[in-house]
Amino acid sequence: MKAILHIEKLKAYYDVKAFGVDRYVRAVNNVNFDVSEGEIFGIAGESGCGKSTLIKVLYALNKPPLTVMGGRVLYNTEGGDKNPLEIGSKELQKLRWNFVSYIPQGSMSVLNPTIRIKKQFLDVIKAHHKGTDAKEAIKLSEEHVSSLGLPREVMDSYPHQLSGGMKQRVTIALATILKPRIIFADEPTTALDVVVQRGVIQLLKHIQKELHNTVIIVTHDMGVHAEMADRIGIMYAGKIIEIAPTREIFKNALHPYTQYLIKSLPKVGDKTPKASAPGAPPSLDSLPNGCSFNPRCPYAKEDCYGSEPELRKIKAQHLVACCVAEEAKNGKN
Amino acid sequence: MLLKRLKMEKTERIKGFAQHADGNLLETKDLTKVFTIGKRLTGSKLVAVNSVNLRMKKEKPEIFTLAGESGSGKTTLARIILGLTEFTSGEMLYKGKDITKLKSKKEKMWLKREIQPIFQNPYEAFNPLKKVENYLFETATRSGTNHDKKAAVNDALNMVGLNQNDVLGKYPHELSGGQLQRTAIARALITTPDLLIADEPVSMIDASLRMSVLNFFKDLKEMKNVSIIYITHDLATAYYISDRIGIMYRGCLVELGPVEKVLKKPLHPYTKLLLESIPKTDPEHRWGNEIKMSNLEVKEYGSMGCKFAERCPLASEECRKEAPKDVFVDGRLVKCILF
Repeated sequence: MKAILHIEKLKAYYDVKAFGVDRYVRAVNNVNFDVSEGEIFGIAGESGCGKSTLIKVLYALNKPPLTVMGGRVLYNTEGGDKNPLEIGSKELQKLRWNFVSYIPQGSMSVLNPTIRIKKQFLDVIKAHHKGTDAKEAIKLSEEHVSSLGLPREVMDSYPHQLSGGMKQRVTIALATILKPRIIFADEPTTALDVVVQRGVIQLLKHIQKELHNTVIIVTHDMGVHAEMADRIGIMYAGKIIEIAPTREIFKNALHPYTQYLIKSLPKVGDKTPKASAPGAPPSLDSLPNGCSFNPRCPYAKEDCYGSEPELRKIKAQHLVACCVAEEAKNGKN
Repeated sequence: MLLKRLKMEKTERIKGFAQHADGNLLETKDLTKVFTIGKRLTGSKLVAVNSVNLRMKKEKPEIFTLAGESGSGKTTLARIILGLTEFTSGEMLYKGKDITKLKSKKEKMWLKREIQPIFQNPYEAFNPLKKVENYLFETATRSGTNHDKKAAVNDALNMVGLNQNDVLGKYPHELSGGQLQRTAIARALITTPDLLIADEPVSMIDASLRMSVLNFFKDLKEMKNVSIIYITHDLATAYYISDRIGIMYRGCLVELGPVEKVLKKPLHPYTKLLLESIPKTDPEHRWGNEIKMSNLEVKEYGSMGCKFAERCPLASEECRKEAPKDVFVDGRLVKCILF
């Protein structure tokens, strides 16, 4: 399959000036991966590991202090490869919503509280397809909303009249109205409870099945990834440290951090004691030398403090950035 | 001001309340809270907590989980137990005492010492401009314990596995989320409470540190005989730490019993739905069928019959007419006419 999104040596730092000295918060630090067409790619990691920043850069939403320090992003559009970080704002606007679309974090609060949902749909369609007839646009959005299983009444409601889960589903409907090829979803189910979360995941999967598009979903909840993703990238301290198909991650995690993540997941029906990873994640402005996980890693050896490990291929499709991956794997058994 | 405080401390020093022979730590009888939405006469009523009966034994400390989706009334119930919200009707006894009848300041302070809260977000619970130790010493002063305040603070910090050098003299941003939440727990422990109310204590903590806080709750129950009411919507962590669980839906406790029974063999259709909705963390077994989403929250609160009837796959006409009674089946209470 063809890669629809290509990320190469991407570096994005927050440039923080403190006492006249530049300090860099390395939120995205040399990230490389490809996402193929029709794939659901999950990005997992804990808060402050840079996963939301990565999504922002991929959607070219970077504003100072966030600066792209190097690398490139390529969208494989019908009109050839395009780098959203380089093209002009007019061209970017053409791509947005039509080709790529973004469901932001806390998307319950992104709807304009003073206008009806119907008008918000109309605004989106008019902004991206100039000269569309208003009646036609409303008919189109009504069809879209009902095809997603949302009640028709939402179109005439104001956002405050809807529950949190409903607002989230309306935002997803809004983001997909123009049938984008790539959808970036940043924590779409966080702050929703389990039943509503299931409804939202159901909706996203339904859309992906209909449109055969690519979904890049960012969340810290491994359960959501297990439910949705085809492939998962684990992020730690601004880097992707492991990429593998979902089953492989859950069965044969190689990086010690991934192993902690998977092992500490509580399950109903399992009361065996579970341990957290020791220590706390590093601050992104003062990363430890060598591998960023070395202060917390039980397998760390001398090499780990020297150079930063690169992503290397273990199996087809399974990449890991760890010098001691083999030992860590054996240590588990 | 100073005089007033000194006077208060003095009254606190006189230990007012002897232990009671009654075996219950906490008992609620038909506890109900009604909120009025809109104006007093024309507004609609919302029963946030609907005749809840709970009983926690004193001699056997336990972790009791209140679970349910947002808007199920679990936080309101916690606030009532903490004395932050007044209930509309019913009765609540703590160690055999009716808490609405506590009149003097001394008695009210006693209750505050006995029941302590732990909140969801440790970053919001602490003022970022204040040193963390201020909270610890303030609690130690207010709790009016006789002994050395410094010793009390140190004991509490040791109990949660923190070194005093880690915490004293630091501001909230200098501590990690897990450390900060443990400091919040240490603050609650200074008054040597018998009941802790933890409202979503781990939902803001990173996945890799979450288990350490949960394990600590378990130790607290076993070593220090503290009972804990753990409020969450995460059934997986609830199963991991708790002894008993109560499932709340629209203000009612629909199923209550030992966690192994309720979560492994759920009887109420709502408990089944909740359990099915947890992502399995197992990519081999994904959800097959689709579920029906609720669109009518306020309507459900006001319905006469079973609140779950609109979404229940097994609902009949009878369910919509009459509120189901608690039935005792297989070691747990179920509010459903099917049993």
